[in-house]
Amino acid sequence: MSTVRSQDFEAYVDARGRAWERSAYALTHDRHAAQDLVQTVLLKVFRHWSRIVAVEQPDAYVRRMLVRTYLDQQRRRSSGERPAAGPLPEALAPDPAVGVVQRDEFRRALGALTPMQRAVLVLRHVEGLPDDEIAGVLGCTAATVRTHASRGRDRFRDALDGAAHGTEQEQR
Amino acid sequence: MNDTLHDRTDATDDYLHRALLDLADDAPHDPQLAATIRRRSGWRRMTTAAPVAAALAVLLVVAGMLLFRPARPAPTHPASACQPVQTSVLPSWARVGFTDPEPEMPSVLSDHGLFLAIVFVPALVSPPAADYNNKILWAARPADPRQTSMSAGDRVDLSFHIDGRLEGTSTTMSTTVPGGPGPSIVDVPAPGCWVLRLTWGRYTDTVALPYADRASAGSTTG
Repeated sequence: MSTVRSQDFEAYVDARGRAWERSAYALTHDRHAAQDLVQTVLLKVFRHWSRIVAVEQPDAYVRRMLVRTYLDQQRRRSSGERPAAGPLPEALAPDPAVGVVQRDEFRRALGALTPMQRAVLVLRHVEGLPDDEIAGVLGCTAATVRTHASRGRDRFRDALDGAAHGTEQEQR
Repeated sequence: MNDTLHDRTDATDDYLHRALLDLADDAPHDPQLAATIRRRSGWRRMTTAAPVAAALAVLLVVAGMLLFRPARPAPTHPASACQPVQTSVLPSWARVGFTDPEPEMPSVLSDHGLFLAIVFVPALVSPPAADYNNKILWAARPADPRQTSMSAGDRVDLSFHIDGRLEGTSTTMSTTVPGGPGPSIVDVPAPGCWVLRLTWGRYTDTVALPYADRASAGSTTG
């Protein structure tokens, strides 16, 4: 890769790297898996940088690769050694701040989402994409996106309700 | 009834939004991300040429030794236990959690092959800095000691203990990774070659890791 192209790539990563780190962590909820996901995708981007920038916006390519690599990874795990619901949430360090219990419950409830629901909701809430753009990333229709989002919201709410029910029982 | 359902949906959406953004805010950050990618890309190119280069290097060294062998053995100095951290495809037992089926990472295998230190930073440095973590992922070849303990009643310390000594000195360090081999930050008080004794349940091994002086490694570590 020429120096100019390499500098372009570095400037791109400096500008957008943090956004990809955020999305990857929201998808995986695992620090090492998130870093591995970002590095794997950006490594492919680095190798094909000139071709990617000639054809489309790098953001669109990176976003599509990030989400599809995550979904492929989850598919492999669901047929192998890991549960389909994805990795367990990382343990939260003890924190005296008000609201940490609720934060913990939220994160555990996110663990109830299927990989596809999670991908849709991350693209919607973290990246702020409209449904038609999410459909483009995932290669499906906007109606399918809405279905995944709705079912994901139901699952998330059920998981929160279950956590609240468990807390009530513990208090009795 | 419909209003209640609508309110619940709105509240769930709000919770979802907050939960995902809060999670994203906690994402780990690599301030040297572009450099990390460039380095990993360079490593891959190097590994394709590595077998040829290695064979040539061996031939040159052997030829040199044969041609210029001294009449008497030269006085020897104790060699350092540390070698530069090499990048290679991780052994199959250390690949759990990686997206790439054959991940290439800088890593150091312990002397008896029980543990692998996978280095997640451009260089391990000392003294520690607030904005730079000496991140090491420890992988273990043996099974979890809980599964191999002699009897169900055995109490097994599951923590992964690291006791280090700076080569050639009496300076020591000690740290523990709760729950066993896994992600860790291993800081040491001084740069140099650190020989670490690793203990996990009944398994022990040693590994030597080079820590660069942070002042001189500043250009690569930020």
